[in-house]
Amino acid sequence: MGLFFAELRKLFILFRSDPKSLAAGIIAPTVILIVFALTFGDFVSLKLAFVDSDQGEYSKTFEESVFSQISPLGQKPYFVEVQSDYDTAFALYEAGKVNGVLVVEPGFSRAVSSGNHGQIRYYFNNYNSDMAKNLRLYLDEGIWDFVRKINSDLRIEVEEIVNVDAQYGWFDIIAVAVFLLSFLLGSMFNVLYLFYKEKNYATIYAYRLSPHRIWPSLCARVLMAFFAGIISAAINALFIYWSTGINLGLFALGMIAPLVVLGLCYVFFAVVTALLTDNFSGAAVFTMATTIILWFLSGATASIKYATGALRAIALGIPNTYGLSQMRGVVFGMDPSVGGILGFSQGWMIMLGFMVVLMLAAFVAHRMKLARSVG
Amino acid sequence: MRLRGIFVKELLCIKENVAFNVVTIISPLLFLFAFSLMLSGGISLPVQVFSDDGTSVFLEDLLTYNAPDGSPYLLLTEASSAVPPSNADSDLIVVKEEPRLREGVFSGKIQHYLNDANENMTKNFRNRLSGAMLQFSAKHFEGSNIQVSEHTVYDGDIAWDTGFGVSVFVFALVLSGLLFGLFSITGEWENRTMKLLRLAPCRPGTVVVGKLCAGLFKCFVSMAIYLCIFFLISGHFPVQMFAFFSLFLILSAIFVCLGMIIGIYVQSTLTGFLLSLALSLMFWVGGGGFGPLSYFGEVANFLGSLNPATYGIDIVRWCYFEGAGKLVFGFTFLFASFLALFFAINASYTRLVRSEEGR
Repeated sequence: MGLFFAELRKLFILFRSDPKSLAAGIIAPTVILIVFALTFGDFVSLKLAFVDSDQGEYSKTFEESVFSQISPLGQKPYFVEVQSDYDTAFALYEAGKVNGVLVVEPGFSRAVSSGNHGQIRYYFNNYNSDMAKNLRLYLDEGIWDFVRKINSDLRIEVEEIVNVDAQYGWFDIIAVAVFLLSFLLGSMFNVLYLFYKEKNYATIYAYRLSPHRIWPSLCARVLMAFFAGIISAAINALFIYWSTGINLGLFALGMIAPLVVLGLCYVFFAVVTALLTDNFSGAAVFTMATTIILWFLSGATASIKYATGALRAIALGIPNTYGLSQMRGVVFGMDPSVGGILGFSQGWMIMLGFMVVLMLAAFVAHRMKLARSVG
Repeated sequence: MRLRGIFVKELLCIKENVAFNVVTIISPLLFLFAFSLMLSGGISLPVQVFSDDGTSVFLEDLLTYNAPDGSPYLLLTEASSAVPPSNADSDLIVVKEEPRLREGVFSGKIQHYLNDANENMTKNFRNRLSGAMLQFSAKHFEGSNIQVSEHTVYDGDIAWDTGFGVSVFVFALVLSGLLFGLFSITGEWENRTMKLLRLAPCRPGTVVVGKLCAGLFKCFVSMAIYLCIFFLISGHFPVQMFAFFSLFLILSAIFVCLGMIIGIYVQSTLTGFLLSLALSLMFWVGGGGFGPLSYFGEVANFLGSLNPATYGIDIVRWCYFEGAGKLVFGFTFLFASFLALFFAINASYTRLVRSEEGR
């Protein structure tokens, strides 16, 4: 026990003297958080220039239908109207100031009132298939509303039944995943950096001369890594609170178990990498790249139940998928199983399985590289 | 001769820190692989369907509910019953009453089970269902409707993953430029060779140009690898090669200069590396890497108008897909940015090596 505390004290002094490793745990997830906050966190209504060349009764009704449809995501209208004449509308469109131009053709109201089809022209930027899909379907929402208003004998009823306890913004769901990432990166970089420092000071070789067992050293490293991970995660949780209003601290108790198991998986992975590579930069790049890509694939941005084929198989084989699902279950009161695909206990089995394998790998690497060699 | 010496020395310095140099290739590729894999499903969403009547014309029509390029909006799987779906399933659409003409009224009843806590998925399913009903009514209901004539910027919708891969090229270029520029200066600090540069009997401008040329060459190698892999994945290659190569040169030069400026002040490779990673992501996202800036607010648009990556993304998309692109303004802005940054790095470096404090 004395050795463990001595080692812990040494690691703490090393960490305090150069807390640079913390930067990785804070900067990378914070950048990801900002990127997602900008892109998925604040959906603004798309700007549409409306040119009414008809000026009739039905074109007004159509205008009202198009601009009054509300998105369930953020409870904002799909489109916000930019009032303009024909030339201004296209000047704005060319300058990229509006997402599209809707031109109601002359004779629109006359055609509609006589039971024919009204004509409109829709100019938009089909920048990518997803944006084009949104621009088409948002307009369809408005047209569908208009068609039902003007045809009293069209009465198709749609009943929406919410089959989940509650619904949340997309960014809120992503933010919990970013919190996990900050904890993992903070912990891993601490392990890597402290090994690197000791290699740099050439003190790492002293372990081979030590007559004591090396396991207390490994345990102290893991504990120190968790300490750094908690600092990174706490700083990220503040950003999350500031950007979403979700106080993750209130759910800390419920999230501890998956965080500890996943943390152990990744810390052991970092131990193996640090011991088997001589180059700190290489190890840092490799672990950061692996962790971020696994994080993406484990349903960080959307539920894996929509994934198919290889993507789904990969997601189901990653321990984060299960831990993340359970953390979201705690924070949002959701079903903690992975999208219901694999149950709670199966998820734990997979996470613990990964942890045990990586722990064994870390023990073997630690023994190979640092245990006293005889002869 | 000196210029060549500096160029060769910078290339040899790759050996000092292979890992960080490899990052310039790996990071964008990771983005490309992760997002290509995630976006490979395109705009199609799986949905469960069930009809109380057994057969349904509405559900049959749903099978032909496609985007103009033929991509289905919904991938239908038949549910065994109309009971609420489990958490493992996607949304469920139940046709309770087949929509058809009944006593002069076109009526029907559809139930939509929303089965995701994510509001975005609710939006996606609701949009598709409304669009499907509009298509169905246009086909089967003899009343007034609206005909939309579409006029799009590109002849066909750019595939989501392909568009993303092209946009990531700019991220790769920004990151490479920043890192190679940065390493060329932090290497001098960390190897303590800055003193030699101060004593070197050559003009500071020569050193800056030598480092810039080496940075451009390294960027070229990184980008060539990225382009080859992207071509293998997507089958797309730039169609406007001259503009593409010009963009590569000017955008690389801008960010190599910026990277060198950062290197002068940051001095540490690790800190500079993390800073460059964060900066390149911010330049890229702020420049419309995820989508056009018209989706963002006024401040983002103003910042975007000052961001070289904005024009880089615009031009590189034009090089691949043509359509609309502000080429003249874009290249003028980029060239002006390059001149400003080249002047800045030249001035900063000259000040560094000529200052009395440094001696």
